[in-house]
Amino acid sequence: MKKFLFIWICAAVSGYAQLKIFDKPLSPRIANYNIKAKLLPAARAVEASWELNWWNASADTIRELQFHLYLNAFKNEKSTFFREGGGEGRSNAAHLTKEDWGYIDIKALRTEDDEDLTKRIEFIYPDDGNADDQSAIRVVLSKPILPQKSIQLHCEFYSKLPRVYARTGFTEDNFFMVGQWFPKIAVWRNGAWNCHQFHAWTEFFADFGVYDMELTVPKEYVVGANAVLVDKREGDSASVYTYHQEDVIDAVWAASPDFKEIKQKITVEGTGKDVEVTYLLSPTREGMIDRYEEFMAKLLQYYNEWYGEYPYRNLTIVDPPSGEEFTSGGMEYPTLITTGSFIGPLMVDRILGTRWLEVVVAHEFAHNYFQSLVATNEFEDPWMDEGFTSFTEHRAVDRFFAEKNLTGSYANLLGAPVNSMDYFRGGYYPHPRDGLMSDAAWKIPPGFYQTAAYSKPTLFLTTLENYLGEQTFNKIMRTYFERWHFKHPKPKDFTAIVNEMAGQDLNWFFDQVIYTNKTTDYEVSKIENAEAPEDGGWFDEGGEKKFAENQKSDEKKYHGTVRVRNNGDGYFPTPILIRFANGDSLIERWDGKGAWREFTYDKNSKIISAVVDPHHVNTLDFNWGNNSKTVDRSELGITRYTLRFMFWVETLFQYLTMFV
Amino acid sequence: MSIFNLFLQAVRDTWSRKRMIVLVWGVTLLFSVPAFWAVQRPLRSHFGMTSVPDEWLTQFNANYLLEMLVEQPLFFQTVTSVLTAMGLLYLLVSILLSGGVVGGLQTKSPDKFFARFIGDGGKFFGRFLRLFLWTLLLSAASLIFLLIPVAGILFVTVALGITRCASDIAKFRLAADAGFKVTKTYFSSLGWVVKNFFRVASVYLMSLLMLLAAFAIYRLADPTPHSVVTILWMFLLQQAFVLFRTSIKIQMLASARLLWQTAPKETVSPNLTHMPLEPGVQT
Repeated sequence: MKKFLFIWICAAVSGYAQLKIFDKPLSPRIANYNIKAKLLPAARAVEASWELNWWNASADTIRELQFHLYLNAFKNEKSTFFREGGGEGRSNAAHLTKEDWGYIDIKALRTEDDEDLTKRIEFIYPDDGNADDQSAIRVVLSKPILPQKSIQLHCEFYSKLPRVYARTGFTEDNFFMVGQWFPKIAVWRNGAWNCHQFHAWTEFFADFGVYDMELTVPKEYVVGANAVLVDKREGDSASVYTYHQEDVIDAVWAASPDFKEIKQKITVEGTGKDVEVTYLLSPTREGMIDRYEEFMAKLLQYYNEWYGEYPYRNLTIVDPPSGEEFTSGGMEYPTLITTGSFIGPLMVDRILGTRWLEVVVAHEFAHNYFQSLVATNEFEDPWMDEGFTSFTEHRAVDRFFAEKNLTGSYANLLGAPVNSMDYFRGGYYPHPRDGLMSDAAWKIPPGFYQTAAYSKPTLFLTTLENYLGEQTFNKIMRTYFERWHFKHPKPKDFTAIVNEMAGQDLNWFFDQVIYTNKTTDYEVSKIENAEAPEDGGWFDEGGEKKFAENQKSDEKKYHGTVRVRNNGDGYFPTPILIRFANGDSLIERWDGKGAWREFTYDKNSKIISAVVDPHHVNTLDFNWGNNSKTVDRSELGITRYTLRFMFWVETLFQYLTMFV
Repeated sequence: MSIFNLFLQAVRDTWSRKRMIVLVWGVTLLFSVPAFWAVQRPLRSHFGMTSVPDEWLTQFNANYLLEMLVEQPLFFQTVTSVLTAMGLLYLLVSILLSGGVVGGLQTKSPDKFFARFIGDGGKFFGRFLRLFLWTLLLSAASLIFLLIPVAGILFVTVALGITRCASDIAKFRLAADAGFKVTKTYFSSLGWVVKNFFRVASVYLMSLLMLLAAFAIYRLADPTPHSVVTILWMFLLQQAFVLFRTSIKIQMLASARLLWQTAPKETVSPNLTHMPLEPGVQT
């Protein structure tokens, strides 16, 4: 007991009192950890302990605690993670050896009164009833936690890291990505614990808090963490890094003897505040630094302008070793992201004109806003973090490359630009009805996660922006960020803000897109130009019948018809642009309801074309190819690209026969 | 003969055989036409009566194409099938053509160009096919070194260059000696290229620099086509560049021939030296 109290006081003094980043807490600071960890490279493991100060911010009396043990997802093939994903989820299928599996063992769990809770640990499996899954636990307390009171716990644990997998683990050449590695308390919400198992396609959910970390690693290792480095002490064989971070939802770190550390100070335009970006680049990636630095400076400016201030002082960017781009790259943590500029060194991106580096950085850094600051529940509402993030990524790369006068925000493939919108639409229209965007991550049908969490939400937000206009939309997003950062919003919280800021009820749209799988596919199905009938025949005039001759004139009159139909079961207000041969054009407006609508005109000019939604406001319309119709063939644009295609075929043939 | 003079001589040798360049370019163009049609026809039928082509004249929107792929999955299969079939055919025809080029580079006689070209192609086809397979095998094997970062890429680049140069040298040796020992000739050519690495690399690099310069000019002149005239101009430029690449490939073969002929060596095939390179040059 005395020993534990001593440790607790030391922790309090060394940790919490050491550095204060923010004058006032930015978040409720519910889960506060003081972690001491030692990396054991040979064992591919971390030996660690934490002191947790958890505050019951609710009005409930809490009689048990629940924790996530995420690393147990990699313990064996009976875990829910493996059963659902077959080992394929997120990365390469692992033909795992004994060393490659990962797990977490709690050696001891005690209260501040030195009551041993270790034996009370029970595995729980609230989502699927899989009794073999060990990714979530509960501990019944002998003394309940009263409303507005705190509990202090001490835990000792051993985290065996897996061969890097789902963005956590080790590689052969001693790269360690230490994420989701400690017993992490769940979130108490609406009178119950919100503690889901680790599924193949779920991510994480946690409360905000203050984190202090003391990391001991072999001396030759370079370390980066999602916190501010307070102190670094070097011994004969080991170095001790001390970190501190406030108002975040997670603690993560990476270590490797091969990291090249580069620092960049960015003064954010608009706030005047400095953010220190630390790049930890694997060998061969140093050449990427200019691209990183230029883009990060822009991102901080864009996101500040669109959403609000990035409140932290630091950001760490880890570019993993070659070959591990998909296993450990492309992951987000508060103030630390992993990227993966894998095609850079081979210059494939230069030759093909792909923008992989920028796309990944824009996406992962956007997660610092959506899920790290606006801390949505990634288990239950995956679209609210991945969707908002993908949408932000789309906006960022579009703007960045447009500012550089480069076409193709995703790639410029041999002269054919591919934009982010092409990418996200490509992820949606092949199967727009397979599941619901509002589904919890583990309930989304296999193969639909990308659509439900990334593509469809991106199109949903883009359509909303197009429909309401950029100014209103930015106001919505800024308000959403301002009201909900450091909190846990649900979809209704967002849609309520949209309705409020837009000054109209848009639930008709939300219901179609978020809560059902209704689709829209508007098509111009017919253009017809018939010669208008002349005005001849018998007519009643003043009680008498009068005969009128056909008024033949040189100028022909046409009865033009445009028919537009909706092949989907949803609707969206849709303009139709109609052009006439004499150069006239007009815009018709249709509320989009009903299966079809016809527009007719009697003019002395033929209709030459009709286009539904000419500015592509409705990005959820899953076939833009049928949105227009012309009376005459026009193929020059096709010839332009097919000739270019032929040129590339010739080039391909010539390279194919390079060794002949 | 200095490296630069040798390079200039190779350029002269190549451009004095314009019919050969045009023939090889023409074959390349011919083989790409089916791929053009395989793409052009479905696009015309799918988008011809829409405003998509007009939109593509100002800005390419890949969405339309991707949607079409979803609607017509056979389109992709057809294009890849045509590409694969034509690619393989082109490969075989190229082996035939390289025989014609090697034979053509050994003579200056303009008589019966086409008959001689095809005749030489047929004569050397079997040997050059085996030579190609050896080159391909060694090139593919060298790719394993890509696993080593940076140094691996450098190594593979050099290895690919050496296998390619050795193949060119071996062609002339086989042609000159009328020999059939392909494997032996290829590996001894490999050794020869390694021994004369800097000389060989310098000449080949000069050709590559020429290609790079032509590419830069092509990129600068490549228009953004919005009209019939600019599309025609784009097409002519593209074909001019393909033709130039063809000439560079022939020029590399011409360089290989000169390199082998002018290198100090123990034995030179009497057949290879029957024609002086240029007045006053001793071989």
